[in-house]
Amino acid sequence: MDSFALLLQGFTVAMQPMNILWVTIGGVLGTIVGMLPGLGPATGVAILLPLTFTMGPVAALITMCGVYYGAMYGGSRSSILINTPGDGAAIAATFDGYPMSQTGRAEAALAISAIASFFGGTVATIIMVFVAVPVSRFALHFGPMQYFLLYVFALSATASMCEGNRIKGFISMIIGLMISTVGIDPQSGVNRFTFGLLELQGGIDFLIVIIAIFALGEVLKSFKNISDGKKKMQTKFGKIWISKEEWKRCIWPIIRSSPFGFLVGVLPGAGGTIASLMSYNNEKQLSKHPEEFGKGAIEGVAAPEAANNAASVGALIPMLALGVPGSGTTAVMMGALMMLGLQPGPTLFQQQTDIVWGLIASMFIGNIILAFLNIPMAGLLVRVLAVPPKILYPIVLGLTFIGTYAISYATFDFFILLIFGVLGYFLAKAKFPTSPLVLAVIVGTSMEQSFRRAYKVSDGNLLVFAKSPLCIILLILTIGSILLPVISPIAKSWKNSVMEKIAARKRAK
Amino acid sequence: MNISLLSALVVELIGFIYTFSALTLPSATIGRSYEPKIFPALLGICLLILGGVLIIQEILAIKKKTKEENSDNNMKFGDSEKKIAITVLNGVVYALLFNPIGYVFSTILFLMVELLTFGGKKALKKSIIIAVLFSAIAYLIFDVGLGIYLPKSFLGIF
Repeated sequence: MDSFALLLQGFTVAMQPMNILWVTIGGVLGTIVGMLPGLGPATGVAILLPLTFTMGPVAALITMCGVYYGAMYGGSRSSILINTPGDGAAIAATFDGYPMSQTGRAEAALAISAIASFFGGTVATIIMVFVAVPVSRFALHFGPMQYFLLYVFALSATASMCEGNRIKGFISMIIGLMISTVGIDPQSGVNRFTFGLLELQGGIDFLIVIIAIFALGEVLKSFKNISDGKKKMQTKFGKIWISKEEWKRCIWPIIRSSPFGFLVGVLPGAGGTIASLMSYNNEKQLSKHPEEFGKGAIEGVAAPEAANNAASVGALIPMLALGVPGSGTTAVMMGALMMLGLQPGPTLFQQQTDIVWGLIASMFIGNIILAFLNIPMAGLLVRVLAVPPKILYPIVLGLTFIGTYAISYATFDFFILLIFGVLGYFLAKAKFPTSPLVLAVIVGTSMEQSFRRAYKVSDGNLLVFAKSPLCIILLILTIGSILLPVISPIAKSWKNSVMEKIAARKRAK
Repeated sequence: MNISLLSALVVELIGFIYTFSALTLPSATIGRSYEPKIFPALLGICLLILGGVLIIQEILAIKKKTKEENSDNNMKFGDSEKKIAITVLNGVVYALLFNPIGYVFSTILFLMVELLTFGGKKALKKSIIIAVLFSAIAYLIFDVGLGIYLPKSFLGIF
């Protein structure tokens, strides 16, 4: 069956009334969580996971996607209205969205962010329909060597693309891999790092680590900068829509930013934050009115919003088709899939067509529902922002504990949650990025198994990792991803100095 | 002590302990005896190297910075750290009470402490109402609605 026929089949699954209801509920809850400062899509999916524990795999995945999308939409609501982005991907929406709301154009800013998000998400899902199957077919040829190197590439790209000190990114990654080695070794039955505790023999559940780092860690961080009460914001809105003139200014930035965002999203480590910031800068450079950027240029909201939603769809491709997540949020989504007993990767597209295509079809439906929720009902949803954080954060805490209990029905996991929550807090305080750790915890076991299988096949010869052309390409990509952030500023300064010398010579002549 | 340098030293210490534990893991009885140790040992060695590089980086950074900049980065036990300690302790008590007194009562206590920690003692009445409402609604949604069975209290009802 070709992709189009499979998509139609997916629509019959996604259009079932219960699934539409779940994607709507997921979208509303995701939007609300996404609006809370510091809580982005990763946290949203992490704390709302228990809602899906008793659902079937299709309904659970569709709900999770609704949450993921909703949080992406929600993040920009708080950026526009209170200048507080829900997560990194919504930072660019503060640059012009907040000045727009300050000058009485909040309605236009809210409308264009939802329209651009809808457009970006839909275009990216269309591209996904055509790209996902070929990628998964290609990945069927991967052996353990290629898989191991693919994991290494995805992890090192994520670690080296993180803001700040790259060494800290790699340390965070290694700590994540170490956590994944706790428990009984599945191949030899040897107890590893269990300290004699029976509860650790099954390993540390990656879902608890995710909830601890992304939800509990964020709440602990919030003690430092929590405000005493609610922020002043507009609560009464006129018609949330844009004028023809504004639409004309935005249409091309949206068209340009959507495929661009998708491409950036596919790359491991890049994700929504980089996509939105890059598309913002691109539009500023291309604009006829660059001086308006930062003061309320509507295309300054449209472009990054289209790009970050497209990136969120693009990021699902390596996760679904290869089984390799490229960002913290897709890592959480992958965790949710694995919890449902599904192994993301090429075989998912061969064996679970109804689930995969139901999910892709639900992305189209989810986008429509979220655009509806975020345009006519925006005025109602943003009232959540009026609830003081000092009430919202304890509620998030309550949800993290109930979520943890629902995973294994064991209160021992509360201690694991607290330990990793505190670890997440200290890592963030010492400026260690946490996404590489979470990513590594999730792929760690598969990565080690691929390594061991390759090691066995080659009879202990490590050169097997450089034998096939694909392995060599992956090795080059890994080295490139590590070196690129080091080389690019050096190349830039070298280029600048050369240009200066040329200019000086011209002046001398 | 400077938090960046301290974190680098902790990383190095973890690297030592982990590598040592990896190398002293029991041998496998099936296949190659050293196989369960290879991957962890590689990770430990990587962490030792990265930790070492970070320590050097941090020492160089401290030398470059002025005294004031360094004192800004020092470990402090301020108000927010106190609240974190309360939350962790509250979490431990919650874990211990969760099964014996049931979900609803333990959650009311846990949330009340958290709401007071976040909002201050002035909001006692409000905190009680929110804690009771959240616990009851969460119980209804998760236990009754979603079939995620939560421990019941001595009353046997919830």
